[in-house]
Amino acid sequence: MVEIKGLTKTYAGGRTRAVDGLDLEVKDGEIFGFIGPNGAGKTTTIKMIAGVLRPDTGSVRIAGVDMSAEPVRAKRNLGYVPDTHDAFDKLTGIEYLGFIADVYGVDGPERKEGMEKYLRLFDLQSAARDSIKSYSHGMRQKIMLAGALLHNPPLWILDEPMTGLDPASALLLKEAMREHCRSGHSVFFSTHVLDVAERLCHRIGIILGGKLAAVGTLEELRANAAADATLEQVFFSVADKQTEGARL
Amino acid sequence: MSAGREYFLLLLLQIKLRVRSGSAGKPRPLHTFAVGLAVVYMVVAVSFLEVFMLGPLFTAAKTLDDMALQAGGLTLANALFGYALFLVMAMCLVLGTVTLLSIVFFAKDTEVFAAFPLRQGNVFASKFTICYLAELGFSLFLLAPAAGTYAHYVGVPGSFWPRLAFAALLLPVLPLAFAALVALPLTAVFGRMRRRGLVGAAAGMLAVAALVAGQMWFSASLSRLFLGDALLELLNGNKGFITSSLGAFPPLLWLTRAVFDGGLGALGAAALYVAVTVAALLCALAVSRAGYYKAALAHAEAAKRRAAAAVFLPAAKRSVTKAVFVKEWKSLLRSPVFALNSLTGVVVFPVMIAVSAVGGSSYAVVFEQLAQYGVPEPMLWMTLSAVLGFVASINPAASTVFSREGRGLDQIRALPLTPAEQLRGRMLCFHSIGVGGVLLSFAAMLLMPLDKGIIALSAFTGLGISFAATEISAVPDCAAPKTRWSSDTEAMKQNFNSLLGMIYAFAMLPLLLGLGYTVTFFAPLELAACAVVLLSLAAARGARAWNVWLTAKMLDG
Repeated sequence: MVEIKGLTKTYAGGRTRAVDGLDLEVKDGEIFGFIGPNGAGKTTTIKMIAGVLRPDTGSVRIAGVDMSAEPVRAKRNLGYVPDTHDAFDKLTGIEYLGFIADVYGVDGPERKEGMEKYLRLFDLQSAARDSIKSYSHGMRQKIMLAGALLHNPPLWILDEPMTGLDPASALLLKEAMREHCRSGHSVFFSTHVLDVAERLCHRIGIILGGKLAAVGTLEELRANAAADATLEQVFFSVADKQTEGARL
Repeated sequence: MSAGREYFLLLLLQIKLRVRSGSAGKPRPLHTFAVGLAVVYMVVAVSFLEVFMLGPLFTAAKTLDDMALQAGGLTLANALFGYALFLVMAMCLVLGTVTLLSIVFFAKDTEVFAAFPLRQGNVFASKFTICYLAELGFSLFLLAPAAGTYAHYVGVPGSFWPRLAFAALLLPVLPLAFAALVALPLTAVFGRMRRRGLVGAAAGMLAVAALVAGQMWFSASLSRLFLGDALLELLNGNKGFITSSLGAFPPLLWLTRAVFDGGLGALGAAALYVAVTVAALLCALAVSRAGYYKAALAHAEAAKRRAAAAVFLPAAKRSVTKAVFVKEWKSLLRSPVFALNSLTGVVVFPVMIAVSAVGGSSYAVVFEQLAQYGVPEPMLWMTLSAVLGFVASINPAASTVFSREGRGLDQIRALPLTPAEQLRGRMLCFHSIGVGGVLLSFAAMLLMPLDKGIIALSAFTGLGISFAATEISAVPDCAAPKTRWSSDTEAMKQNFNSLLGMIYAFAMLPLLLGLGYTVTFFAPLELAACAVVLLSLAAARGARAWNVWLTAKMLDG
């Protein structure tokens, strides 16, 4: 579903390497968790996958479509929820969903059913006609999720999707992610909550200093630590090895 | 922490927040250069315009003053300068109200401040000071050339400059305090309404239109005072009419006296002006101490949720262009600042044209004389087309096309739309504003006692120019939008792209009309109008292609 090859992004005139030669693959029907400390390059990577940032070098292919060569076609295959939700705050919830449906060409019964489904799923029916500006952080997160899922894209790209969600909505989202993958689609998401990644993901990638430090199933990652290690222990074990390697 | 220290800390923070708001992506040297050039251009253009307009007026007033029998007291030249002070004050009221609404009442940071253990009066005062500094800069920008012109043509004593500095420092306080006193209760009341943005914008536009109309009537009555019988009175040594004309707004008379009167008269007038200014300021501060948060946070309160059954789902799918067009209009109308800045020209210019055309105004006399003695048709066509082109060129909505998305621009980038699709619906929205302004101004022009055929031909030309002006206005923002802002004012009114867009459009106006006027030397007027329209449409097409290219580069991250 996602093929990333040699992805690099630098800032400050090339002095800061936010992402450094990243190679990664997300398979069909897979929930892929992307974890790493603050400033490791998670959001930059996600923005490049979503076509928000152009990589300095390397390529991103979504469902076989090259993001640099055919950005519009590639973007049609994904639903993206950023970590901040400042856009569209002057629209109401329902107007936002209508706009997204128009942009992605969602028509017919799918349009009405989709809106109803996600407004109900995220308990936003009573707030649908209010300005997004008046929403709480969690409600904004939920309306953005509804917008990203409305056109049923094969790939969901979610940047810190659990932030701000109440327990019931977080549970619903996790179930929706599993359901999405059962139908052969994929989810790529970043998170700081290692417990969520541990329980939800088929595979996990750990990014440190812009480089992919480790990738695999939880069992594969445990090979770096103890056999019964939690993801948290695996994460710190990988981070320690990376630090030692850098010191040597 | 003492109240004074708290105020200065907050003020310092406000200054830093405003100075450090920047644009998206890498800083572009060409853009920075263009902004610098635009500032220099504006200073030179306004100075030149003021010298050109005020110089002859001051000279004439001085000649009449020299002929007057009675010496002492305010002179006609003094009154003219006093009237310039009034105009600056009126501008401060209009622009200051917009700034106040955005920075003081609708800013995103107010909720954050409300969570800190800070005095609400201090939060208000620090934001009010920012508005004051902005309006002070603006009033100095307007006053300095007028004062220089006055000093050159009329001659001033050395004491004039410190007195003028005193007047300039106090000038923006009174209109700002008045605006705050009106806005505080209104925001508290309207802030809870569902359609508060639209209501605020409509009320603001009505207020601006009423103010412009009032200012024009005031100007006309002053003009009549300076003509006919008034001149006779002046020559006979009766200067009472000068005092009575300025005294229509007493603070204006006090301020003019403070600048020009001698001895105790000046001191008394200055004391009166300071007293009224300080009183207004203290009133605003007292009201803010009691209810600033109530007013400023009213809009942040969630509107009452309604029953789920009331949700109306949009039925049919719209085209991408229509979806973006509708989204753009809604975004503009739901922010009082965006709506006021984008639509004021559409409302105010037709009002100005209508007021100047109807009987009783000083301009109507000019129009009647023009109609009576006849003006060459090409000249009349060019002038009216220039007015309509000017109306269409003031379109800050187009010149902040992507800036207004703010930090949400990343979400716009992630949409599966080509740069051309991103622009099409947006530009259609801005064209509808430009065309609306031209058509309303055309309707107002029909009130003028001038050839209706020429007015219609000018409207046709104005419509063509409108398309070119709107497209060209968007060029700076497609290249480098300013996306880091904390209030809607920063996104639009305090965005240099607005100024740049306007300058680009203004620069094109004389080129197009100059070419059209040249055509009239060897072709009928109708053909010249068609030539200008065709040229305008070609310019619009070229600018759109350029904008699409710039947008593609800008959205590429």
